[in-house]
Amino acid sequence: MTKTIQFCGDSFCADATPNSWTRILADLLNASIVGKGVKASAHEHVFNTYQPDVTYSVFCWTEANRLYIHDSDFALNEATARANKDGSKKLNAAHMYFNHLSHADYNYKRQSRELFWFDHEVLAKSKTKAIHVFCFKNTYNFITGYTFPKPIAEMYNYEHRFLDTFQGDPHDPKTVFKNHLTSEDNELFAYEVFDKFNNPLLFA
Amino acid sequence: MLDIQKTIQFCGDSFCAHVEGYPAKLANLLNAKIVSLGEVGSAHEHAIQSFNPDVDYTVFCWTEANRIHSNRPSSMGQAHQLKDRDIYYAALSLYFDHVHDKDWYDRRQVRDLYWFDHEVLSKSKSKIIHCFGFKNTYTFKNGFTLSKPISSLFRTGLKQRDGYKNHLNTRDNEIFASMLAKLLIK
Repeated sequence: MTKTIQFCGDSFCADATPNSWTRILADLLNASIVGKGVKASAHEHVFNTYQPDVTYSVFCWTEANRLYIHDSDFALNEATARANKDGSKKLNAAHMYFNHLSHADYNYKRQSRELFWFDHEVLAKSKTKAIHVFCFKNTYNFITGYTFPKPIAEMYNYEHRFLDTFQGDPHDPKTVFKNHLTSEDNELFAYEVFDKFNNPLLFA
Repeated sequence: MLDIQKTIQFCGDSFCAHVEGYPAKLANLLNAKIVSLGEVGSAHEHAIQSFNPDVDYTVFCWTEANRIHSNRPSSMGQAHQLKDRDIYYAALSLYFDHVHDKDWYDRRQVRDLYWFDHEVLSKSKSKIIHCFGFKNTYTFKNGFTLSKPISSLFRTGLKQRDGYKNHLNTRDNEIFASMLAKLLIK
């Protein structure tokens, strides 16, 4: 039976082109990719796109302060809303929300509660092998699957985080970025996740 | 032997914000001292944060999901009514008009209550009744959940000056207090 893998999250797992960690990992596991992340999405997007019958799931949990927009793939953060506040009524309303209604500490608290719900009510009923990695800050430790103790932004050089598709020299692995990581780090991370999936102490 | 008086708390919104009415009657029936009441216009987060696990009896009045947690009243109606008063209500009104998604807020309330039920209430020995104000969104494992919201059980009113307390008239406050007392004494 064909093995499948899904990547649920934001821009840290949105690119599955050759040499990305997502593609390398899928090849190592001999699994076909059935889902990938969406740039600038909120963690709500993961809840809406997760498929319980997939063999492997890698979750890249994004920051808590993103405002989910129900009729859009992308979410808004404070900087995006501020920069585009004159673009539409929705963007202006989001800008006002971040300025006067949103509280970062409360958003982190709510994210951890929502992940608790997802862990106990959704993942616990699925047979998928799940690995969780936070992008910027760990807010919850899952009982279902393995959770990396550090966020990706701390595990790898994150200096060029906005240059996710920047290519200085296509032959220099240090200047090609996919999923915010260099080619070298994409490979390292793929093997890191692969080792976890193959660890019999984590996944029987 | 010292007879320590029992305590009761009301956690929620305007359905349990006024001591006059069923809170005082219920406390009297249980011979318990009221230690806290709900907050008018508050979001369900207020109930979560104000809950004290060491109180003997707890009545939760879970409000509608569509409120933003704040130290000020934050319902959709209040936002639109007060949008010209100051920047907070102007922002709230814009948010409800252009960004807000009711279904998402319903889902988020369920997740919050699920977490609260499993992680907080499960560790408390308080005798608990859960009442929803407008719509039941979750059935608790810890404590008893009324099968219908208060607004379906009684003819609710908004005006305190017409004799309504906690949105209930005098007679319904009495009926509600007796109903809750029976459930809590069981």
